[in-house]
Amino acid sequence: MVSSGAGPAAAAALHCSRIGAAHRRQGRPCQDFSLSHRCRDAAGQPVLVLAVADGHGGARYRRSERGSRLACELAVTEVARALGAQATAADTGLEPWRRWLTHELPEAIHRLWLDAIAADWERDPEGGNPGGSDPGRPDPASPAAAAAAPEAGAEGFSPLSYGTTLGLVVIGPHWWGHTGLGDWDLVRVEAEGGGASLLSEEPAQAAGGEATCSLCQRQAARLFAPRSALYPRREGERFSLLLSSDGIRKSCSTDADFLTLAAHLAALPDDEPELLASALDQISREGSGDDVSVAIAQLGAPPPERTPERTPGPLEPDAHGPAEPKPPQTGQQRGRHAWLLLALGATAALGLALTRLLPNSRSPGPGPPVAAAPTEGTPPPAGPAAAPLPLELQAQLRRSIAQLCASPASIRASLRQRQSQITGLATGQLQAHQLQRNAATDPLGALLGTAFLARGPQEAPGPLRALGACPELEAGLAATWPAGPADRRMGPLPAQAGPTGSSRPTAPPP
Amino acid sequence: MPFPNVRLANRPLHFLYLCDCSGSMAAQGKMQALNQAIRQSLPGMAEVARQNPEARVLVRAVSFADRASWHIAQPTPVEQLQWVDLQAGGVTAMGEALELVAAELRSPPMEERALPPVLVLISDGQPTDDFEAGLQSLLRQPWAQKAVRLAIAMGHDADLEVLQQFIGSDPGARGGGGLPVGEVPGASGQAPLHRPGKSPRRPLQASNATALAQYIQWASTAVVGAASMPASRVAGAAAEGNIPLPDLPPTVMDPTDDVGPLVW
Repeated sequence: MVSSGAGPAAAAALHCSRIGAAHRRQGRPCQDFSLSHRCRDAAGQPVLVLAVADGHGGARYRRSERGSRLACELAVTEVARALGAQATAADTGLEPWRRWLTHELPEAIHRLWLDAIAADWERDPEGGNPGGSDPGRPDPASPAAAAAAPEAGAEGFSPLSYGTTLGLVVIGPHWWGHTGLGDWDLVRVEAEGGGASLLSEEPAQAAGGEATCSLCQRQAARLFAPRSALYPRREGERFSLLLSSDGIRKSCSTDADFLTLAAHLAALPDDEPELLASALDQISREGSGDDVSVAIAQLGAPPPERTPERTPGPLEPDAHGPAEPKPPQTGQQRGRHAWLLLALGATAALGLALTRLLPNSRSPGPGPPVAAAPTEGTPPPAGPAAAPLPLELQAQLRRSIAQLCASPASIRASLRQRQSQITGLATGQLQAHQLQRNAATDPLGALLGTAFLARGPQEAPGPLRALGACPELEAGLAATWPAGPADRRMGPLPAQAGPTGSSRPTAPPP
Repeated sequence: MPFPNVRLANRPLHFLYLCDCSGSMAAQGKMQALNQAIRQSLPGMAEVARQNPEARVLVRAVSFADRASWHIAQPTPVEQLQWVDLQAGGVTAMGEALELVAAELRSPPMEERALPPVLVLISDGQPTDDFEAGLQSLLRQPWAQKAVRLAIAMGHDADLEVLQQFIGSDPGARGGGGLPVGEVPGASGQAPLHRPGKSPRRPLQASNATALAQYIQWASTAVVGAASMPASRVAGAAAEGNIPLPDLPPTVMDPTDDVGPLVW
């Protein structure tokens, strides 16, 4: 099921983790881990998985280098297992995959990780490494190792000891997506100097400072949702994705420097991994001193198999997907459901025909992450020609707009405070109409909801301009959910690092 | 492929002294002891900064008496710092000092990638202005919430309750609420976070110049060293504090230590 063959899911991939300059000096292990892994779905289509994990640095997380390694290994194994049981074909729609990436995969990863660390503890309660298979650990003679050893034996098992973040990118032939928790960053770099943009970062309100979300938290599986998004792949699209631990971003003076650096790393040749390792060493040495990790994929042309001309947009009902298709399915289940897929294909074709007839249907261009379909009873998505807003809502919005536009320089900062709502809207975790209904208590949230519904190509003035929005506010909101080639978050915001080697994707034997 | 022209930089670590310069500090040589302690701590702090090149230690100081003002307004690299003596006289505008610091902990001017700042409040008395308002203003700033907040009480007239409010509750104490203010650690059977009888998450009581110098030295070296090391942790793990604080130096609070007479 798992193949080493490179397919069109991604043209190239590379990953590397390097011990931080500070950790090296202190005799501490590299607590980062990274992986890139090629596999195939049930239909034989190539899939690429990137994973980066950053084990926590505090003394109580004394086995975090094991936690980060297990997190990466289990995550890519689970992805390969799940996709190996079901084709990622476009005719299943994207919504089931979004749910899988946001809910089902995180639950599976968390459960597997908890089991694995418990087994690791049982196997090695003293914290030793008799097998020598733990290259991230310090020299046993080092002060750090000496300090950790007695402590390890003194306390019982706790997931805290293995605490780690996890960032994951899954690239299939028809879609790609990301999920995870913690302070990793994901940057998209357009081909041929087209610029770089920050796609995903840990919301400031989720943690802050050196604190971050972690797999060792009891509710960890739920913490994946804000970092999860799914994007359709488009024909002819060429770009790179760079998944990095926070040590990279924290080494850069500004986010502009980080994005420039990300573009440089993404352009490094995948057949010379030592260049990447050398660059990472320099970054840590001249920057934060933290462990540093990246996993990079270059996405080329879509697969020869023709992709649908149009995939569901962010606010459209998922016409392609079955109600609750579980991505991991057995071959027998697939056989039983073949009739359903045929029916869904016909439904999809009908949906495509209908959307072409609709006057405001969006052009096929590259799209934003797939959001949940509107639920029954909620108004249809508003475009530039949407129905008028209720007067009471308009009044609330006017007040909020006036307040924001009174200090144009603070608009972006104000919007940044609502990253969780922005992410929730983009990922479908939050309904725009729900925010609008709460306008009396949260007018800014209502404004975001309204702006989300109104986004898209705006040749004509949007509804917010009619309510008095200043150009700075329009620009700030437009940058929040652009309708361009990649759905980008708001502007750059600020953001850590397998052991000390770099390599190409793993490809377990078939 | 050459390395791109990007600015890689170590992370700023802001260290702020908030020094009580009220009239009472003139008595019994307290002001002189404070100036001496800070000045003597600087070489050690500079050495810690040199050993941790991933952090850029930047020092500022606020003095407060009748009014609060910046004694060192610009974030100054510790190795360039020349300590000019503080002068005592006036009342204790501690709340205003917290307001001043709050304004500087906004983002910007604070850099998003900064390390958790270290705030050290040193006082021998009670605030004479609206301390609560100042504290609220300070704690509204996310960087103040992330900061390592330490307090040193000079003598037994210092308002320990106010200083504990500045630090926040002792998360390591059993029950999360810390010891009752003024209670001798260990007397109630509650366990502090660190060694029995001591916790840096409670006001540090300096009863003489030697103890003050030790606490200042500890804050400017051990704490700065701990804050310089990027060590991620789990969000919401309150018991850890913002950084894992190092053990305290020996003081007169530990009856086994002999660090000088009770003076203040």
